Amino acid sequence: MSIRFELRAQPSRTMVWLSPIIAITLTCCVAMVIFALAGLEPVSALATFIFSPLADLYSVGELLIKAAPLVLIAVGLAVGFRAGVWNVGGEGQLILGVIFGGFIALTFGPTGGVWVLPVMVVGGAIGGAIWAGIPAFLRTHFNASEILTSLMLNYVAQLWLSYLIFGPWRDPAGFNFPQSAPLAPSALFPTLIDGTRANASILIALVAVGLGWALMSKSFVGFQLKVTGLSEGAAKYAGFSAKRAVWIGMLAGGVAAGIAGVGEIAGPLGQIFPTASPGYGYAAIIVAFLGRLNPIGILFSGLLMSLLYLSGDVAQMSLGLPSSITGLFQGTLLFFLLTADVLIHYRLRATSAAGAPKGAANGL
Amino acid sequence: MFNISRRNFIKGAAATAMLGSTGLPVLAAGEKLKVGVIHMGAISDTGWEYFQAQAWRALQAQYPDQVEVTVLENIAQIQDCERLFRQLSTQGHKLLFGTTFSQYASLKKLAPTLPNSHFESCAGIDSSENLGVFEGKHHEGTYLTGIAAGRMTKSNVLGWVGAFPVPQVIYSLNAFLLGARSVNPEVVLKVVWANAWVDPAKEKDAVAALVSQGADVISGSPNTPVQGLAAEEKGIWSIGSTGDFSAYVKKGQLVSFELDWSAAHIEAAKAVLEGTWAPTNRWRGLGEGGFVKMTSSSPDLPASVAAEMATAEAAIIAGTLNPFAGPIKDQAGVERVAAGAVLPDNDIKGMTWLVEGVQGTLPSA
Repeated sequence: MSIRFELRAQPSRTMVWLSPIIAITLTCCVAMVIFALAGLEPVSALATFIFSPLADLYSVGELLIKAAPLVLIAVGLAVGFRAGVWNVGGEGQLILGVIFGGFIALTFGPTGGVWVLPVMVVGGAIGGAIWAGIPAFLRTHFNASEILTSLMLNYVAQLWLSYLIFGPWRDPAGFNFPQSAPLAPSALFPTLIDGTRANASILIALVAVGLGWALMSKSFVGFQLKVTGLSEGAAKYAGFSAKRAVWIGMLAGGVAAGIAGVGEIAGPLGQIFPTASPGYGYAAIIVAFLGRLNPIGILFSGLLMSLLYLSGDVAQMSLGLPSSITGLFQGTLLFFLLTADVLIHYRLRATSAAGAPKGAANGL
Repeated sequence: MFNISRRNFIKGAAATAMLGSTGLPVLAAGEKLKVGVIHMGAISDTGWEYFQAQAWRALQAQYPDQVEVTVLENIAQIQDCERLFRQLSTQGHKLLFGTTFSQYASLKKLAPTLPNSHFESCAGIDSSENLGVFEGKHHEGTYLTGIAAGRMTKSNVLGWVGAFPVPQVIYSLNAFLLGARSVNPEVVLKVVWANAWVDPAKEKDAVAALVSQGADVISGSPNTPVQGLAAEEKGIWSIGSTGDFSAYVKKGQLVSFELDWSAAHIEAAKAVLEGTWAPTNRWRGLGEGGFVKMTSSSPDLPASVAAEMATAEAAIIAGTLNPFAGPIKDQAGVERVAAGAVLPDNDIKGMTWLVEGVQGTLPSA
């Protein structure tokens, strides 16, 4: 008896949603093996790993403020990914959001009023859009691969932020340490729940999910993007502009990442450091695919990814495992997801070893 | 939000002096003291994080039955450190150690909201009700290593690889030159900034630049053996400044000193165990219970120089020698410390100027 893959006539809709669940289940199995090898009781360790970051209200708040930027960026990126626009520059676009938002916060924060924060959000969006606009322009005018250009611009953005924090924005009262002055209260998101750090930036992420869903599922533009992503030739034939798809796809990611950058400095950070982004721009790519490029799915995958970050700290604190476990589990999850995705287009078929399998005669 | 300023610093120090032992929580009889430490980087075999780790290891060794230490490493994001300190505190950790100045702002924000824990920040501005700070007088170490450098240099040019122009680094390199000039007034010190605490490539480039400018003894602030190795390759001496790299730099390391925070950890834990913890602002150098320890010296270091260093060390410990005793002029030739005077501690801690003889500038803000 042997097992072989057989191409499905149509991609399986069930498997599209089942595959993340298979991936999560398998990741949990791997986690238990790792726990067992580390000398821990696998089931209770897994329970600690998953549930202790949700033990109290404060921790739930932490889960939300980590998930919010991931969801926001992933929704933005998904718009592009659906149209076959591979924006891997979320990190740089986030940093531009930090720079633009930070400029407004440092310049007007100390004297400004309630308008400072909304202006920061808009500024961050513009910053992210500019940074995403560069690869879009290069792609539409020179046919330069946006994968390369957007990725390279991440490093450029990081250097700009370092320059600003080491130079003009260094806190004069900060003993020359590379950090900005603390942001004024007017430049910070208000806290939603007392006793937690959960702030209003979470609402922005929720709005983004709603907008993303409306754009992708309900609008004509969303349909055009999807067609462009599936077949550029077909899109052209139908009169849909491929250039327009590139611009919309890139800018959606840029705006979302830029706003997420503002959310970091105006939220849990409260100050600008050269390391303002914890790599959310990259992690959001995993979130987008784990959520099937669907805003509702992304909401859940963002929460899951956030949970993984927090669990990594729990692993250190309560289980005595190294913090690199977070990266290990994130990688394992993505690995199993990509593997399980094969089942969307293929089905497994068991055939008897004796004699030629019947399917082979049909030439696959 | 808080505001770091000289004035607040003094206010805080005064408030601390008045408060004394406040009504902070005391452990129940027989209860184990849970201690939490958060490292920003990975604990390695040498350097800053290693010294921090040596401190809680010493604490564990001192109180194997009474103290339990929870250690988190690789917490690079400041966003995370606030949450983790809070979690450690709510899990019953009564004593929490911050390991770097970057965590100080978070601790400052957190401490008032977590009155059940005592916080100790390694590097920080001022103490408050349940937050103490401690830092080493690095300049006492660099002054002594400066003596060795001043005696061994043939070109009379020393080199310093600067990490960041923070006061800690500025007073270290100033004292390095002052130590060298105490035995050899002809010496100058060239400074190159790496703008990183750890960046092997930049450190190596910096050493090459210093050597090409004639430096024949190199010291610096990034906590890695890289500068020593690069100097050894060029056939010149290096100094293990806040780190003994003789295991890597087998021939070229002249002398070294290390940071030893064991006393800070053990004293704080002892005070919590005894219910006498009070916020302090500890700034210590050489000597018993100090935070700076002279470590290895090369067999090629002449006995006369070693004796000179030992004499100076004894004088510093006895309080008869202060590296920042006047007269001291800055780079522009302006007298900063008059003859017979010493620079006040707070002026050293906030130092933003370079002494006469330092060639190089501070990266401007």
